[in-house]
Amino acid sequence: MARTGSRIVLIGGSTVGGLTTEKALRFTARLIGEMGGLPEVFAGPEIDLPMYVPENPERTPMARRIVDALRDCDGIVIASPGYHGTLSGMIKNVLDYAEDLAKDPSPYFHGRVVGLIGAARTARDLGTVLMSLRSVVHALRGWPTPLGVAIDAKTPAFDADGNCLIPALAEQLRLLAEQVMEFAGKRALLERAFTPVHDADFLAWE
Amino acid sequence: MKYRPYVVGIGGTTRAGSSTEKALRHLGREVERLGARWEIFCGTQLLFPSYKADNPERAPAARAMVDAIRDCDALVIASPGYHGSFSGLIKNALDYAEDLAGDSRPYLSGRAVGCIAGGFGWQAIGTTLASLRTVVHALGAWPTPMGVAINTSMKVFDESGEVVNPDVRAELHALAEQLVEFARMRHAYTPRQ
Repeated sequence: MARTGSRIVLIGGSTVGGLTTEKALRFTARLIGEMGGLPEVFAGPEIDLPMYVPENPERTPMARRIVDALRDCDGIVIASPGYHGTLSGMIKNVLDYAEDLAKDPSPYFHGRVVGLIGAARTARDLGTVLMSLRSVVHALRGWPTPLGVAIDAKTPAFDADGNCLIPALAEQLRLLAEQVMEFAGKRALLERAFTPVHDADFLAWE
Repeated sequence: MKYRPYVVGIGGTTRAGSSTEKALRHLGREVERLGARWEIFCGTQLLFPSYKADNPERAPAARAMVDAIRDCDALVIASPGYHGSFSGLIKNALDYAEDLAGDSRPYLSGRAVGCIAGGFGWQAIGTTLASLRTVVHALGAWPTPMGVAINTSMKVFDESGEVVNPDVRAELHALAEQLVEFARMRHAYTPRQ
């Protein structure tokens, strides 16, 4: 019951569509759909937004769609390739648009779970890309899932239809999807029970 | 009966009244105001032998800390930044979480973990916080969105050890809220046998 209907926004990939990160993201979206969630994917070239310029209020339709989806969602998944040991500039730029959520009642990613996926060609970059993503999530006030999934991009991990070829990886992505769905479901129940969620409300809990 | 989450804190240095210990005590009072129980293990209480996976002997103090962590609904780790990361004392205490590997809730799973980093300057604080969070992930837990920085190059505490820096007070308050909120959320919406 708690798991149904959670709106999960998935963002990731690279300017070249259909590579490992994007496939992992779409595979995760499929799992979330199977778990009763409502995934919405923004991936690959479509999220190649103009560089975020704080003093410029103009937004492309896609930038507006992404920000609106983030504003209304219950959970988020971000998948980035590891470029020079950290997330790509394209992904970071999309995340910079979260600044448009600064004045929301739930600012930035407040109260939302964020699952993280990193794909890189070296073990060293796998560790550091996940760590960088987590630092960004903390700065945006979100809750990074316990599990972050690191994918070795040297080994083909998905077939042309998006099926995962590595059982251990499929299992990790399933666990990630579960952690996102579980938190999102519980948080939604909580928000419904106590609105707005502030410490004073918790004093009266139960 | 009203649910009172149990919050455990570990941290500090071997020097009594270290900044991270003072921050932990302040946080304890904050979570208590939010309806939680709390207990902290600080400084010399954490002077255990280096963790040896193949040796089942445990010092009584180590056993007490591991038992508390096993029972906790939320954990706080407060470490000074030594050479850009947590101290060996704190990491060794965390290594004892290996004793929770076979639990029904293995390691720290299902729990929110708050991280506090202290240091004489921002750089080591930032890297220490990031390192602490990495350990929290490795232990299967949920690091809170808020991580608290105690920069002792500024005035943070008064002579009695009270936190007087308004930013630090606000951060510790937010951390306390997030820890208690997460524990209550898990408790209220997790089916129990």
